Amino acid sequence: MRGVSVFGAGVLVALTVSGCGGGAGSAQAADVARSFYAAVAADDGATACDLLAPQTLRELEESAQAPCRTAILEEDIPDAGEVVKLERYGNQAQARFRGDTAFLAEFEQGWRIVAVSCRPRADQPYDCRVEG
Amino acid sequence: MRGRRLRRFVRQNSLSLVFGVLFLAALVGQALAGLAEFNNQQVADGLATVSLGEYVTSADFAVDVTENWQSEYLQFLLYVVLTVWLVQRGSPESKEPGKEGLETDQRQKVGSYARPDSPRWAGAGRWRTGLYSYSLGLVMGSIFLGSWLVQSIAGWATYNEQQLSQLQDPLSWIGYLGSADFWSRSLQNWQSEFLAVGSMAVFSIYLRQRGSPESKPVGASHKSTGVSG
Repeated sequence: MRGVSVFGAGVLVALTVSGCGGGAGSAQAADVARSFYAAVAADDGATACDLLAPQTLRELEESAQAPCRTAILEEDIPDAGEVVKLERYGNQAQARFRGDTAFLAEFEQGWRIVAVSCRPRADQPYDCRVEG
Repeated sequence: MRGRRLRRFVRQNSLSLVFGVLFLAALVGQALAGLAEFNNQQVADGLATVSLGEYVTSADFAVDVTENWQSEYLQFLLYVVLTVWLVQRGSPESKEPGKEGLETDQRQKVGSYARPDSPRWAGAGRWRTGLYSYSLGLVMGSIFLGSWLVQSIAGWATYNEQQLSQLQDPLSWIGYLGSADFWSRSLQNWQSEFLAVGSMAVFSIYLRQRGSPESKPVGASHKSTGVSG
């Protein structure tokens, strides 16, 4: 019996350290993604830009040659709808909405959007309209 | 009195104590070096750095530790079990040719052949003696399988973290078990263990380490098998 419980504890530790299975981090990542889409839908570019990862914000401003708060609203980001699935591993997460897929990462200041308005491609990374 | 007893204990158990200390020192070193490497990458990616406590409970650290553990225990499991049946003429690590197999109860001192100083389960008979007769292989095999399972879970999480950072879908655990990453991590460790064990069996036919029980006596014939000194 002891052998079984030690074995079970090992697997439990592995699942815990693997960072999978939801938890507070996943909920925070989902909240950030929801807030981002809500801000875009409300034409609140400043709030949406606050939720972008630094590299993503830089890329957007460079390619649009415009401040983020206006450029982000020009990107035709779809209406995402409800979260269908959120998967988090370590400091990376993918939020699948009914109408879009977003990728997030955890920074010093919290979860931020790394890529958004993403479409899957066979055997290749997602093709994202906004990415860092 | 107490000091003398302690000194005697240390002297009589010096091999396991020294390896215990070396293991802990190497594990701490691995944790510190791994943390520095991990945080360098985090900074380069503009991500949050982690503390030592966070790192040693992370999937990155767990997969690096357990992929080595599983291969070491697999190596010793195979060595313990295969040397029952396979021999290497001239090697101190092998039984003499002709003695392959489980051997007689009398030679193994089990059941009615157990001696007063034999472990209790060697003479207990039935399932206790059966279980005790294979306990070394069973424990080594369990640690191997447990470590390999933890490697698969921690490796899966690490792999998926990398997939997400490259804007790719994560895999299921079952999917990861069939992935190149899982088998590359496993096989790169296995090949080195098999090489080390095989070469040890062969080198020890012809080469000597004076005073080591892992070697034949310096003057022993290349043909003598199963003799250590």
